[in-house]
Amino acid sequence: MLMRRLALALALVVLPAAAAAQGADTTLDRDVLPRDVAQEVVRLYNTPSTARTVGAFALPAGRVVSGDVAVLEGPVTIAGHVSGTVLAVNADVSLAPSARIDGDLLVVGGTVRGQSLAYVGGEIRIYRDRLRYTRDGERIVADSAGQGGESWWRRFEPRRTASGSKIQVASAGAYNRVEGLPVNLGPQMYRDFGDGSARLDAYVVLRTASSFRDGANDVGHNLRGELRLGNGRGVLVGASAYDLVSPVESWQLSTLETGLAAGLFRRDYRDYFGQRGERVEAGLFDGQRATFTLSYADEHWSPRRARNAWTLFRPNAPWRANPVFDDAHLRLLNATLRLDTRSDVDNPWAGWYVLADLEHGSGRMDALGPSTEPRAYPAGRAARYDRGFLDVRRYNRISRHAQLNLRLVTGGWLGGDPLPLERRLSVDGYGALPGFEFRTPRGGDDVATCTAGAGPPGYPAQCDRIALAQVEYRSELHVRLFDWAGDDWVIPHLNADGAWVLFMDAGRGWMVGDSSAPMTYSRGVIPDFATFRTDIGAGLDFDVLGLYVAKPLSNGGLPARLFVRLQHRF
Amino acid sequence: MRALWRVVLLVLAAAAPLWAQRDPAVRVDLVRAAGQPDVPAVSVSHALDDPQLQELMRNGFAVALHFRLELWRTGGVFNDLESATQWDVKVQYNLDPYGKAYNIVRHHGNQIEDFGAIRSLDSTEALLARPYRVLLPPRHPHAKYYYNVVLEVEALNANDLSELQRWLHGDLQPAVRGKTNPLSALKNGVGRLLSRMLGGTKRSYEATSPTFVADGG
Repeated sequence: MLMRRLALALALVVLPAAAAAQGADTTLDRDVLPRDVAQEVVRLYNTPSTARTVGAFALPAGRVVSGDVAVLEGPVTIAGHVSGTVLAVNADVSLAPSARIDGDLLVVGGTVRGQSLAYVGGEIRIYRDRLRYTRDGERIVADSAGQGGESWWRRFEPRRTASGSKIQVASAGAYNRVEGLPVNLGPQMYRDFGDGSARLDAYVVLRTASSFRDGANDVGHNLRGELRLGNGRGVLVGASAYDLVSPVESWQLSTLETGLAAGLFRRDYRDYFGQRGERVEAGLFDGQRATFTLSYADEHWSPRRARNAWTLFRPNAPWRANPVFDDAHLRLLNATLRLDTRSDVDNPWAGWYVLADLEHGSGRMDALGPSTEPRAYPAGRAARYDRGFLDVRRYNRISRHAQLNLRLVTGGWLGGDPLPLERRLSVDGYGALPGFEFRTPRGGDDVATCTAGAGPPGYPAQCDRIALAQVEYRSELHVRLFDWAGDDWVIPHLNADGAWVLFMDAGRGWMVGDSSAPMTYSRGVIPDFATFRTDIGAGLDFDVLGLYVAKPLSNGGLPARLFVRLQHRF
Repeated sequence: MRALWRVVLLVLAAAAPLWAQRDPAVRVDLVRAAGQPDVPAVSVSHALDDPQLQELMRNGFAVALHFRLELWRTGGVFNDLESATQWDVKVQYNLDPYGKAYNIVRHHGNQIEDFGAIRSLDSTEALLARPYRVLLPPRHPHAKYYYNVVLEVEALNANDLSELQRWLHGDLQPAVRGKTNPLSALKNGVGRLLSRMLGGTKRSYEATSPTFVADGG
């Protein structure tokens, strides 16, 4: 059975076998100019207002030509100013640093030199293929034979559709033990009106682990509209209505990693709760670099239980129970800042990533989930709390081949009544302290989840506050085994560029209140560093696959742990 | 722990074909023109050696080579990214029976350069291996600098440019359009997702230039 599953997995993964090499062909270039370009060239050349010349053309510095210029068979040398477009047909073009072309520079059958220092206000288009033409007085006529089709690359340019709509079928989040695979199904509409854009999504959320028998919670919905005003930067407003199953903490492992661990190995590293409500938001954006939003939501939170979601391996093993979270009706006011100056999102060498969120919640706690410490709310279980969350990462290149990266994550209760279980935090798992096993009942006080003793079912995050610091040193790694340079033989070899990584993590969670209680500190106190969990580790990171080993330092008796990541640790 | 070893073996077995080829080698060199300061010249060799890429091209995909050239300044505790520029080279295999050839075009800022149709793979790779000079001058005289170039190689489908990104968001739209049945779409999507994990559809390469001192003002 296992072998069949492995074979199935491999059949999905292994890509088509290498094919035979391209047949040798000795001819180099074809003189085929795209038909649309040929037509454009002829039209521009023959326009009566275009200044035409045949043969060498030179425009000295300080001289100005008004309007468009077309040169046949060149060469073209420009040091002066052309207020329109320059067309060079079957001619090379040389631009002096003083050259100024206010319009486009269109060259067919030639090359361009000096364009990086000269000023060209419009587009520079260079076609190496020559135009085949015949002269008809001062006009030219493109030869009909031998002209190619349209400019093929335009089919591959990013689409900037002014408007559009489609039916979307898309995953709505990570594969998990509560929903299986959540799938969005519904229309998506988008309109770009130049100085902004509008978008409307209206999905029903289907869940593969749904029984379709037990009523209202099986099918969710997600309706969202957003209006952005401004190009590059501007303001945004949005509104949404939703009935979703949401993760309690999503900041540790990525959705891809969480979903694959659940779908393949029946290990779910997140906990989930039902989130239904409406939200409005307004904010500012600066491209992909920064977003600041203020939002107001009216939500109903409810506990969800784990289902017997299908997995590739360990199909008969029990899922870890999904903790029983609070049932609550809350109004939420959030201020959220996201700043991203990283040189590359997937593989950053330098820059900042900041996610900061402040939340004020108020409402009614209808039913409380089990927790280690009893929670007390005012009469009628009216609740009002303030909570903050901060994730700051700094990427530093310290040499051509090495970097030193830092991350600080902190957050939790800031004031008011105790936090609902849905807003508690932990520093447990491979994304936080990988030297320690995830959600394993430990004797005594567990400062990673703030659980004392056996803990509630599912071992939920219960900390009022957390602090986690991560530091890693990365250095490039080049592996070349059995790779004989210059050898034309096809020899299987290991050839991978990556990085070797050294890292250290320190973190813990704690409760806020009566300092005589376990793991509890006064509101202005940060626990002594000696009480933090720490680990140290090393690994090989090949961008899409990282193999690491981590050893606990604060609990030296615990064994080292091996783990796999599908992206950088942070 | 046994499950962990299983996934490691699975990944290694699946990745083996990807290692049985010669990878692209991108490099950035400093070249000096007469009377001019050093300028970076970027080249890539074996850009299309991958049999998998060639197979994709014969099936209508284009190959996109996305270059990002960065200028880094040294001297402090950390290196500073002073400026950057990026450009794309797209290569498509033309299946026209009367004109099988590789079409190449380069987009850089406001410049589009169409190299026309080239009949052989060797000539295509030779063209890509020609150094491309880029103007990205240092701003601080006498400071120490180096260039870093990042190359991402990706196969693009003209009918569905953002297919990969859409799948990574879980989109199975081709099935909805009736072109594929949902199970095939799901299987292909899972395969694509896993191949993405293994770097099968988009791969990244980096190189740095020697360190140099910027000319005086």
